Amino acid sequence: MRRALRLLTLLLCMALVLCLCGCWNYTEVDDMSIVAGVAIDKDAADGKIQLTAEIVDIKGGLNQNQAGFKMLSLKGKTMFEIVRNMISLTGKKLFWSHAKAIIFSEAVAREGLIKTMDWYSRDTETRSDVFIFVSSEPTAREILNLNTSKKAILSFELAQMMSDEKFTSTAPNVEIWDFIDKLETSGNHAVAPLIYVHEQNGKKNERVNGCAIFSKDKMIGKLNGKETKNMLFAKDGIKGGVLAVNDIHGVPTYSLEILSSRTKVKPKLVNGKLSLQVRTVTRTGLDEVMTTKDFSGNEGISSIEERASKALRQDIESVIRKLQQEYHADIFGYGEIIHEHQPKVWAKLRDNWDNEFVKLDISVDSKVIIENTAKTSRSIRLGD
Amino acid sequence: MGKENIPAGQSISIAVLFIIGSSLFMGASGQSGNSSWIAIILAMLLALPLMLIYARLHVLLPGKDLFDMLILVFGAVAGRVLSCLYIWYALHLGSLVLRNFGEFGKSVPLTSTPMLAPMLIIGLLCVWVVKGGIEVLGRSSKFLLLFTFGVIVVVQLLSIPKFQFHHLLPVLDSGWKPVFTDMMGSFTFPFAEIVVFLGAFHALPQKGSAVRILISGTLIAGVIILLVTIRNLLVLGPDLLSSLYFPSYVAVSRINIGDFLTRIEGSSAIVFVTTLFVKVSLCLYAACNGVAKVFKLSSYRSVVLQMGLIMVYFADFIYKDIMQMDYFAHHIYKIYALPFQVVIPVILWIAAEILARKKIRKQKTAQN
Repeated sequence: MRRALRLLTLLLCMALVLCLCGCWNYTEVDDMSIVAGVAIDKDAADGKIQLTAEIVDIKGGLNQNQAGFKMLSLKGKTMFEIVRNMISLTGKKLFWSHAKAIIFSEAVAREGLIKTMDWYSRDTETRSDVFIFVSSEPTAREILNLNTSKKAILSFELAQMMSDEKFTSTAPNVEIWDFIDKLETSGNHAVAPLIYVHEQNGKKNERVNGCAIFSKDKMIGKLNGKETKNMLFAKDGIKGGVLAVNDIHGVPTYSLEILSSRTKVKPKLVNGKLSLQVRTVTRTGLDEVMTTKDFSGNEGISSIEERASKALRQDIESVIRKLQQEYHADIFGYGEIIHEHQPKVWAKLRDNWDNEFVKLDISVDSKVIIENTAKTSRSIRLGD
Repeated sequence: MGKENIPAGQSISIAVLFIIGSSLFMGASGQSGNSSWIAIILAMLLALPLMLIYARLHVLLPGKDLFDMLILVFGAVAGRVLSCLYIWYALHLGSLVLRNFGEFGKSVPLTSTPMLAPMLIIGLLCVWVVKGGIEVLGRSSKFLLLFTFGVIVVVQLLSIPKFQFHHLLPVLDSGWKPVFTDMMGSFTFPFAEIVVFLGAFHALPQKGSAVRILISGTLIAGVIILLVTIRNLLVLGPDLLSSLYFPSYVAVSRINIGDFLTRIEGSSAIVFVTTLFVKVSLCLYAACNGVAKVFKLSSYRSVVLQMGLIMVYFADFIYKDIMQMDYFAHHIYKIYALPFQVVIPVILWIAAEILARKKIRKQKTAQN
């Protein structure tokens, strides 16, 4: 009896093994379609969303050392519907964890991004650290389609580009998470990098430069690369990049490499009137001198600093004016800063912030400091 | 079977893990936005007097647990009725916590697994440990607490690069009112839930230790919850925080150390499971102990499996969906739990004091 009971227990335990043998939803890698990036367009004719996915092709040959890719495109009414319907094209469920880029066409962006973005941030299979872009070309998919001529996975290239973006600072670095964060925060509007097709000698290349300005979730305008850099200066988003400085005659002569930059925004209340003081301090290294004139004297360096500071101040001012007058959109997050430091004033401004921002008195003060002159201490001297 | 006994250190571990249990999952209730940390500090302070009352019960009626106390103080019938209420509360709380875990599994890592499967497995584990006795639970908590500490500290350090301190400004953005609402929320869930621990008070070492156990348990757990809440706030910001069901999980998923150390949220979810395991086990223990006391069973062990299965099954149908769960946890629970956590214990305390005085007077008159 006792032995029979033991045997029964053992059998039951072994039966348990059957349901403990691993994951319930186990999927092999070759049963998944790994998405690298997506492009989202809107069909003007029937108003449907068109989703184009760049998929990593994991079938590798012996002499093929790079993963291939394939493109899938499908139309539908909602994002998730399309994503699931794609199974009818691939026969495999799409796997989103490695997606790196989402490109929206301008039409989609102008109509409002929440429509297409919500699924991506809500779903549990997707991750919120994917980069977003707005296509400056008529459609978003033609950018992803560049991969056929480049023979490389474009989305991964874009991700690489964004992680090196800090050395040029001509486009903002925006993850879908940051974008939604900006949408939810009051006193702040979102931006997204713009992406072009850059054509030269018949060779097409993608180029990220400039940014799209949003008011709520709708795109309302664009800034070019230089303006974007000044915008980043105004909102403390600069991590690196180059400042070109003119010489006394207005000829571009010097290049300053930005080592670090800090922007401080201070709201000030004087006699009940609110004004903002934007102060930037940029530490740079002199990295290029396109002249033989000597600058090694202290005056030379300090006059370059002075000119650079002045030019930077004017640039930042002009981009702030542009946003105030043309777009009425506070993409700098100044409203949020006022909220944090002057909550009582903000309570009055909050509901009408876009209009208040236009009237806001913003003064800019920039300081550029040259800390080193790279490897050489003077300009190249011509021998006699 | 000899008398069960858990040393003070193990009891503190149980208390800490019990309190941080599901609040690590669900996050503190967040109407007060960026001032939720103030609400937690206030709730912690508010919980301290309550802990003193609980501890005083242990001094007044040493060696007794909640159910003994109720029957002793209120008489055989009324005491049993109140005991039944507490059995219900412990059972219900255990189910709620299991369901939190089930919903977490369903909505994040195991989307196509039926919710019952993970809940049943954890539930059976809890049945096993409760059958083993409160001492087993004490020993495992002491070990699990170290592990939990380790993971929380590491995750906390790794999140530092994502901290945005301006999220804390302006302090008290929306005024004191939501802070007080949140304070009540955090007071009932999780701090005052420790009332369930009263169901295991007979196992505590003798006189006076209950104060130390409850107060230090509350303080340690309070500090952990505070750190986690502030981390979530700094990483996610008050606006997004309010839209998430499982803020801690999302906050950890933001960690990215040099594009190398990413996606560690899955491993950090282990902490959820360990704390939840302790919480459910203690609830189950209290419920079974109550049943044994009410029906004068010789040992609570004979009902553990039944109660455990009821708990798991109850957890399965207690809510319709996650929206309901969120609403209950953050809106209804703070009113529902108040009688169990405050009203009945306070009445019990007053009655026990009177009883104790009477006893002393009787002894005096007897001596005279």
